[in-house]
Amino acid sequence: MMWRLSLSWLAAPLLLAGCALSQVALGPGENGEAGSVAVLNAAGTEVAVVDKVGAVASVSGASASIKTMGSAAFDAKYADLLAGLPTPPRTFVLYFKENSVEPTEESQALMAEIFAEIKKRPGADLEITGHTDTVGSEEVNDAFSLRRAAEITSYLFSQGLDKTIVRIAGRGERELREQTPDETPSAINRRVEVTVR
Amino acid sequence: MRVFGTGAILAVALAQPAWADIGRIKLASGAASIERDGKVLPVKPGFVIETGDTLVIGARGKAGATFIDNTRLSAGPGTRMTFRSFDYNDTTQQGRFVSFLKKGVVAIISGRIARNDAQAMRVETPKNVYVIRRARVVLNVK
Repeated sequence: MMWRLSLSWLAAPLLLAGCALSQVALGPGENGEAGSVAVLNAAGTEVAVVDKVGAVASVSGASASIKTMGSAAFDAKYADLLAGLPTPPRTFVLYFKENSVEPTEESQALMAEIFAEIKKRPGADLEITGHTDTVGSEEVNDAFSLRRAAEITSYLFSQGLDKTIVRIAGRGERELREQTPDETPSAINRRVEVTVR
Repeated sequence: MRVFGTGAILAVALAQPAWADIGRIKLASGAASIERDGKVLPVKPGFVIETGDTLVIGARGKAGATFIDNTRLSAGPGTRMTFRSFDYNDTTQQGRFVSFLKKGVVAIISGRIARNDAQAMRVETPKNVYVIRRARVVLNVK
């Protein structure tokens, strides 16, 4: 009886595989984190969670069967597809002279590298994001960080940057590079990050 | 604090037209196109993706795209995927990204939307919904 039961249990996913509608495989994460994927049915109810690197879930509506292929097999099986992923975005961090919107010498030198990076990437686009330190209110810093980004953008435009590939943002004091208490001046936190995608 | 010049303000104003874009094609080969408002637009690197677009890949085609929250996508042969909704706040880096994979195979490396909200990055398929949380995945619809 037990044998028959377990056989039918094993057979269930195989039968479903014939009409397996979708599949998810979890690969190794970029920063060493596995991450996870929740599988929901059409009603929005969770059917399964895939959270082991190299696991594959074959899913059809309310049923999911999870198997392990392993991380190396994942990379091999999907080599072509993974090779088609765009290059990870690269971020350049620009700093300012004290009490100035003028970039430091080092940061000015980075500008040429930014242009070189854009050339390397077909269909490149840029995100230029300003940041402040914790001095001042959130509202003021949101506006101030956007202006800081605008200064750099303006400079890059003057150097010939394509205006149609740029997004500008101000993150205010939300993303500190150096953790400080509120109302603390920090040259490291006052910066603009240029991300080339 | 120095008063900012009109140049900087102008720079912001000029950059705004890019606001409608949710991502860009970075590589494409074979038959790869976007369907938008009943039109079929062949894609090449730099093509701007908008909300509502459907990426259609032919039997021997492929395409890769990076979205404005740094989500990266690679679509393989026979894929049909619609970017149903995409909301993203540049300041908070939070939002919601819902797409529909009708058929085909895609690799996705999640970006900031998934990083900042475990419920926000969803790929719907005809029978199921996948909620992607800071992960690199391959999704496949027969």
